Amino acid sequence: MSWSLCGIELRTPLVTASGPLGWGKEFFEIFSTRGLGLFIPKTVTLNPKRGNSPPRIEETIGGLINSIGLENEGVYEWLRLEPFYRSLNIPVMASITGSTLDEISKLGEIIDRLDYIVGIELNLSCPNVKGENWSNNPKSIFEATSALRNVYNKIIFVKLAPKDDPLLYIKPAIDGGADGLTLFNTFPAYQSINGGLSGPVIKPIYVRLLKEIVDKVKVPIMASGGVFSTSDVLEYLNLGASAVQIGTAFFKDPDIAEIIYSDLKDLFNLRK
Amino acid sequence: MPKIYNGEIIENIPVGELFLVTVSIGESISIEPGQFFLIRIDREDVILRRAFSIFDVDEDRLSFLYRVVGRGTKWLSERRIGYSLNIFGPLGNGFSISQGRFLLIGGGSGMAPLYYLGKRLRGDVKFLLGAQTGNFWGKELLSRYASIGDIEVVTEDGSLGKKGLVTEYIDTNYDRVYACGPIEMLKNIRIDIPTEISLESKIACGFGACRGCVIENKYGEYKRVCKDGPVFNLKEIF
Repeated sequence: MSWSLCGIELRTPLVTASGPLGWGKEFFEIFSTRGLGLFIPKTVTLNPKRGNSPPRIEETIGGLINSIGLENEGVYEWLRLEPFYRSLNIPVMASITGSTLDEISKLGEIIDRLDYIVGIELNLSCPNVKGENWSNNPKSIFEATSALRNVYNKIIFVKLAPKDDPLLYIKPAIDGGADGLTLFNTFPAYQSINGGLSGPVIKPIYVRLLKEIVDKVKVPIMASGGVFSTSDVLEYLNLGASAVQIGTAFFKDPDIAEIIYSDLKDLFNLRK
Repeated sequence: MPKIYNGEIIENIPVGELFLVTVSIGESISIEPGQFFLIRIDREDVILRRAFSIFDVDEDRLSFLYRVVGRGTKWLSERRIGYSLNIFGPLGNGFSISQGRFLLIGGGSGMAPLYYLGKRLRGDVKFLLGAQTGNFWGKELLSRYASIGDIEVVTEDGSLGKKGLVTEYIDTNYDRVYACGPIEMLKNIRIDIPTEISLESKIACGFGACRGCVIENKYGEYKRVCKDGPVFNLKEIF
C-alpha cells in the first residue's frame, strides 16, 4: 500500500492533525510513528505566543472544546527541532499562521530553506485567536495564500474553517496558489469556555460539507474532523479525501493511528 | 517511560464516600508517589481519559482512590471485577522523597496520593486529613492511613475529629509538608517550611504536548499540570 499527497509519498493515509500532539517531541518520546503517514506539528508563529488564559479545555457530550490560543515558542525555537524531525521516519509538514501578511511571508521564507520539511499547512482558521481568523473572509484567504505562495516553493495546504457554502472560501485558496486543502478546522462553540469543538459530534456536519464540494474541487483534500475509528477513516477516503487527519482521538487512544492502520491493512489485503 | 497497560480490575469497592479500584497490569513497574495514570472511559460520548493519582502500588497491582463526580467516574464506579481498564501512565512529576519529619495534608479526595507517599517516605509521617463530614472516609480507609503514620482528622461539621478546616490546624514542626486538595485549601497553607502541592486540572494528552491543562504560576508563567506537575513547590504557585 502506498499513498500520495501532491507527490509526497505517504506510507499510510493517516496524518496527525496539527495541535493535539504539540511539536511532537513529547509524543514521539513515548510512541512510535507506526500507522502514521505524515506528521504535522502544532501551528508555529513567527514570534512566541503565550496562548489563552486557562481553563482551556472543556468536554461536551461526544466532543471537546479547546481554547489553547496557538501557544507556542515561535519559529526560532521550532527550528531547533531539526535533528528530531530528521530522525522521524515519516515526512513532516509545517503548520503556520500569522497575524499579518508580512508574518506569513517571513515564515514562508524561513521554512522554504528547510529540506526536511515537505510542505506547509497554512492554518487560516484557528477559532481561538481574536483578529486572526483569515477564514471568515474570501479576500483574506486569497491574500494570505498568495503571500505564502510568492515566497514558498513546495507544497501548500490551506486549512479552512467549516462554513456554509465552502466553495466561497475554497476558491480563493486555490486561486491564491494552494496545492491542497485541509477541511476543516474545529467548529466554533461555547460550553463554559469559547473555543473550537472537535470529536465525534462534529463529524456528520463535516461529512455533509465535504459531500457538497468534493466533486467540484480538483486539488487533494486532507479531511479532518471527528475521526475516531477505522470506519470514520474509510468514510472520508470513500468520499474522496486523499488523506485523513486524526487529532482529538489521540487523547482517547494515543496509539489510535497504529490501531486504525492495522485495520486498514487487513481490509486492503482482503480486497486484493 | 509511560505506557498503555490493560489493567484487569480485581477490586472496585466503595470506601466511605469514595471508591477504591485496584487493577492488575501483569508486571511490576516503577512509579513515584504523586504521579498519575489516565484511565480510558469506554463510552463513545466521553472523549478524555480521566486522571487519577496513584493511591497504592503492590507488585503488579495499582490502586486508585476516587470520588464519583461526573460521567467518567460514574462509569468507572460501575465496572466489575474482571473488566479490563485501558490505563496510560505513569505520567507527571511526583513528590520528592527524603528522610525526616513530614506532614501530609489531604483535603477531601486530595488524600489519594498521600497514602503511597507516606509509605515511601523515610522518617516520621503525620497525616492531617480534612472533609466536610466524618462519613466521607469510612473507618477502614482511615485505619489504613493510620497504619503508616500518625493521623489527625478535621471535619467542617465537627462530626469527626476537630471542627473546622485543615488549614487551621497546621503546625510547623516538620522538615517538609506535602499537600493535595481543593485550590482554596492549598492557597491557605501559609507556612515557611518547604511545601510541595499536587494540583488538579482537566487533562487531555497527559504528556505535555497539547497545553490544555496549564495553570498560571505566581510569576505569570503558564505551567503544564500534566508534565511540569502535577507536583509543584507551593512557593512557585502562590
